[in-house]
Amino acid sequence: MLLINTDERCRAQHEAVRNTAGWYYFTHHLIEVTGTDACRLLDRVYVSNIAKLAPTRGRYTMMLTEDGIPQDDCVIFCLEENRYWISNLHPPRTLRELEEHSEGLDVSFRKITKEVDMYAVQGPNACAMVESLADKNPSAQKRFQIVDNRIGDLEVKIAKGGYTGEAGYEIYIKPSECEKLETILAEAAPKFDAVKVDEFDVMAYTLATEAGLYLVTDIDEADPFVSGLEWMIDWSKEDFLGKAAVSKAKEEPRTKELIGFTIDKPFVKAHGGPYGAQIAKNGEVLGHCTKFTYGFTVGKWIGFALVKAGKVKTGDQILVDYEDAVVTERPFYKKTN
Amino acid sequence: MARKVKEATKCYPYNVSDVNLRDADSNMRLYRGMGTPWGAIKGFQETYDFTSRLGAAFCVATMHTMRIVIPDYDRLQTLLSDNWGRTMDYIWSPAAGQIEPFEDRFDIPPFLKNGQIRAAVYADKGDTMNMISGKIWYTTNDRFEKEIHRCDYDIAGPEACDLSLGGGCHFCYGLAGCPLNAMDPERIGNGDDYCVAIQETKRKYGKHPNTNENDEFDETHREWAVYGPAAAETRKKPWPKKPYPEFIDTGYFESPTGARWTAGELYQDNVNGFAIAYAYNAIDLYRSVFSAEEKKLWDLVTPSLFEACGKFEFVDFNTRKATRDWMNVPGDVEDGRVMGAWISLCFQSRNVDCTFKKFEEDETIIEGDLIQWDMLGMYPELNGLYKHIFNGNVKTLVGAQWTVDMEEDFENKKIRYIIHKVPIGARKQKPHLGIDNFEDAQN
Repeated sequence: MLLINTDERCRAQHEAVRNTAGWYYFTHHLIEVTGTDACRLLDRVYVSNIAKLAPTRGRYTMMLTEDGIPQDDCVIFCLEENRYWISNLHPPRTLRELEEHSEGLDVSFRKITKEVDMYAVQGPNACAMVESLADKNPSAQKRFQIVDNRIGDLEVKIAKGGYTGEAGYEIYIKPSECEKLETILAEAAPKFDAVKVDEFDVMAYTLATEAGLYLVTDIDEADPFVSGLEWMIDWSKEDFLGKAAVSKAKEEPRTKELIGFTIDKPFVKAHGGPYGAQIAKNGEVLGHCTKFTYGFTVGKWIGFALVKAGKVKTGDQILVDYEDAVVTERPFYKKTN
Repeated sequence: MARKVKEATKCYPYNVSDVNLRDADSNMRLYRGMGTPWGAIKGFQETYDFTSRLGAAFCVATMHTMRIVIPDYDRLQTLLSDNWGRTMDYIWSPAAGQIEPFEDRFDIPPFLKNGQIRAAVYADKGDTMNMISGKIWYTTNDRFEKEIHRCDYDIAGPEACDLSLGGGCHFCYGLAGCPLNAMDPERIGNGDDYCVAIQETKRKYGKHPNTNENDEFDETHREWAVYGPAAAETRKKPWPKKPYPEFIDTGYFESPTGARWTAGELYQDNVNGFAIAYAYNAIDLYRSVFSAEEKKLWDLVTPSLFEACGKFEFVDFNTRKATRDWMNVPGDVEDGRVMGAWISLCFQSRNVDCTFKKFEEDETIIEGDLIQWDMLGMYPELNGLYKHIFNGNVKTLVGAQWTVDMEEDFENKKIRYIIHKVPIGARKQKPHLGIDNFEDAQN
């Protein structure tokens, strides 16, 4: 039976991104926030300091619930003064919180997902590939910096960053021009040994998980300290959604922790998600698996799990739904050059 | 002073609300579900279980009727599956405009253009709202495997299971956006310990194992044909079966894409009618496919069979007593009010607004919202079918002298079930008494 670890198509695309380059349609949801109080609203809702974002700069940040639990992680771009883009995967939650916190502010926001598409170009050769196509060389851009540019006669915005653990860019473009961009990318690809990636599992799971990256859905109800995302928080901000709860959580001992694990067997079926595989050690149930996939570069099944704090350490043997696994460091893969 | 409630989105007296509903003063959880006139209050889970099994019981009666009307199983299943499949194919076609709302509600990322994950998240949520608990074994965008631990429709038999696969799962094909194989190699309703649901993309896994050489289903290659371990085998699983889905404990369900539904929202989706979709397919066939003879047979069989199902629900004295205790019926109440209370629970559990127009020893009349009761007004045939079941229920729950009749008030969109004593059969006319018109004799 074909499981993903023996899926040669997935393997080829994954390895292309790791060794040369891959390009793919990777459009996320996009919310545009405008108005003289746009920055104030975003600072109310997100944990990072949005006011410090200069035009063209972006930041990976998160939005908490009132109880201090991450409910969405996203990248916020400051396109220009009083105009921001939020690139995320859970627009209903975002729009709800923006709505609730916008009273009295001069701000408007709307979902513009259908107005902007995005292509990712990722891998060791990705930067060279995009830089060879772009009018203005984006190599000097900082991570998450987004700048207007042109590729051929196409108007685009190019942001530095990605979700693979490799260097690369994300190219934002009007949907009506996607076909032309795909033609340009396809024509340039052979020179850089780049391949077109169309396997969703590679785009969303195998590459990112290997690199230790995760989405808010991968960390269940873990607070920022458990999930390792507390670095996003700017504690100097007077207030933000969930600050009271997360300030309290900061002082409390951790009851859970997010661990990585690997399984080195050819045939494994497990599920990672809100109701994922059970994690156990020495007969004690410790938690559940939040993410499970195959790491083609590390050559093993890999996953994250939310478990009781202090019960396991790196190298320990655990059971993932009765499959033998080993607790490992996250990320599972690090670039060596 | 009115009680303050926090975090409430909706609150109906005697109706279901979110499990996280708390009284703002005491912070006690408010598990309102449904209640009887004698103060028996049933919480959220009990109400949910009740309505789930009510739908299943209805499905049993429907499918057993269909066995009589169309004894040729292949023909029966073909008709049922084709009907449901066509509906699903249309609803989930691009033309019907439902794909975009689905993508919005289920937080489908725009770059997930096709693949089985799109269908699986919808199916998983559908299972959950039908109180179907289970465990996902494995999921990638090309393959999904899940085992089902609890399904209240298991008693409906193979017709329902086969119909789920032959017709119901056609939504998968529309949502996935790419050719898909859907299979249930194990089914509880067919006698297996678990259901096993598998979806896989054709691009990776090739043709469906049940199809012919052209990868098509036809008269001899059935979409719903079961393959896999025989029912007699028991495949041991190392993990325990879940008696109910997780949302009962947590108050919400989260899909793998991060979309969330509260327990209350799941309940609303359930009572909006999906749960008894099996009955709709039978009614659809009656309306547009049955021959005149089949219609006649359906009309003949349904009152009897549904009434018999109703009678058997409380035929055992212990079951009757347990039900009366569960409803908190006082010992000296042995009349139609008991049945009225039972019907009110049926209404309440399906979130149908209802009220007692009369609640007396000799007669009880319960009135409900007609549109809510018969699936948003689309299936008025259900009203009569329920009446037959209730007419059977009353004979064992209360006594053989009692009858449930029905009044459909289409103008005011109300339905009334009247519980009273009505002589039936030969008792209606006694020729040696010289009574031609029994109603006159009553006066």
